[in-house]
Amino acid sequence: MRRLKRKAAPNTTASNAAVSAATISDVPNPIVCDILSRLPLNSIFTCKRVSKAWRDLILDPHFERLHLSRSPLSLFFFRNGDIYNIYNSNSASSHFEIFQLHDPPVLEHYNASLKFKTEVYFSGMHIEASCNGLILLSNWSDGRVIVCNPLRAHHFILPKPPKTVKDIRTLGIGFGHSPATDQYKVLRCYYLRHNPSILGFDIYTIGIDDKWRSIGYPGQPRVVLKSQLVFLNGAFHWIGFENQNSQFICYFDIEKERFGSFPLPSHIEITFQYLGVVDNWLYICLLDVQKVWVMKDYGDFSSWTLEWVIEGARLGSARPLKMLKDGTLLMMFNKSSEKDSIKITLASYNPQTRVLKKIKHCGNSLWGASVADVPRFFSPMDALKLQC
Amino acid sequence: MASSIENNNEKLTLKSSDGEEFLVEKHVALQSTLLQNMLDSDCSSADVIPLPKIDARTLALVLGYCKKHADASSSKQGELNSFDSEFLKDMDMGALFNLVLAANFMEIKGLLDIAAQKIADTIKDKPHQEVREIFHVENDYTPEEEAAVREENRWAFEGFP
Repeated sequence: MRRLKRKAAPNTTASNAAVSAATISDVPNPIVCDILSRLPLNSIFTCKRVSKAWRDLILDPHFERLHLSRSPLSLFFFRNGDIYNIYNSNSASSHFEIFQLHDPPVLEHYNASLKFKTEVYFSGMHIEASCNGLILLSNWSDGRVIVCNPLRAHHFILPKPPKTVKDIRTLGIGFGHSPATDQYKVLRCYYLRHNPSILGFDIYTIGIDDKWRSIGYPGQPRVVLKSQLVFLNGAFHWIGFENQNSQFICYFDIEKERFGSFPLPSHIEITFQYLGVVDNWLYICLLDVQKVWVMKDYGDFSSWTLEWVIEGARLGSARPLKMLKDGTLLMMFNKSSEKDSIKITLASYNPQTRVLKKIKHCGNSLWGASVADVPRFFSPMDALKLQC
Repeated sequence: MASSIENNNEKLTLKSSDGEEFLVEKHVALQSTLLQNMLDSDCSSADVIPLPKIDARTLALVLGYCKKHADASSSKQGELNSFDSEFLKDMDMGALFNLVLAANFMEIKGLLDIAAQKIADTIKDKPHQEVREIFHVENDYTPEEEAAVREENRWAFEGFP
């Protein structure tokens, strides 16, 4: 590049206007959005308070798309408050703690977490599932279910389910979203106490249903639920089996509200397993030997692959969270420590070198107290126009 | 694109908003999607291309970035990364905004990316009053709206920004 001599007498007004320093008000909104979407969660919170214009940008679906494209997966923990210490306001209130995960993982980022205290009503609940940044909390013994977005202090209390803990035992609660109808549905699976061989399902559509609806289970295959309800491709999934030689992935399509199943290869040992989703793959993780099977083509029996073998038993049982850009696998390990308490460790696993690297301890937690999801500022509850 | 390879030494002239002209090698100019599209649509490279929104100081920076990236396309990414961070170091906010606007107008994605990231890094972890000052943003909240934001943040722990 060669700089030429300035040509004679440029237009002075244009020149003055152009040389003056630009400010943020000169920057078009899509670029301001781009800049804000690069911030960590706590800074996005701060920027909501800068001006009305910025708040509107942050709560806009366009910001949401940009923010999601940078895939800021986070770990959500729900920690129950100490009900015996109600005079200490911090320890008494139940709260969410959110760790933002980074790609690549940088240790110093994990030293900061965000905390959100909640309403008194939340005490005694645990995280059941999450969907699009909405967290589903429940209490199996009294039947309470809440959907909430901690980032916006939004929450919605579901009606009490028709059957009480005297009649049924809850096996799992799932939470999913149908993009076609833009509906959020909650599915509860249980068995009847007087006849444990009968599975029952109740469903609730948020913003539509007044009360839970009972869904008749066709009874074929005669399954025993072996895992929690995992949402993928518009359906809840769980592992079911009739006997050792016939095991299934069972599903419930939330749009058609129909059950189905596909067989699971018998060479996948399903005792003590965990069913989950990592990067749109259904996976089965064997808790004791740390083998992770994934179904590479959804619904294809032959596509089950032993993808990872992880020797990290000392950290506890493994849950894959996300494939990072460099090919390593971000994982969470749960290890029972004291009574009812789980020690949670974040680690990364390199499939090439087979090295498991500990990133951080995320503290102790009760069972089922954590979930990985992408926090959202644009709350689906805005769209549902729910009374929160 | 064949023509750009054959005529690698071809140059074109860009004119800034304040009337300064810059002679640029074609392969350097091609870092800009805007210029690439203009050249593809048979816009003669003999013409002076006016860039009415970009002042000379900013354009010189932009072309410096383009030259480094055009010449280094086969070299190591690490070298480019250190060039990028050095390039924006100590740049004031006004210059950064000018750079973002220029990169947006000329469609230079890499430059837009690093300048936007640099601005984001500057406001990271700063309280909202300070962000307002840095960016000269006017607080346009009515008391009711400010109360609504506080309500939205009511679950956030005290001491939270």
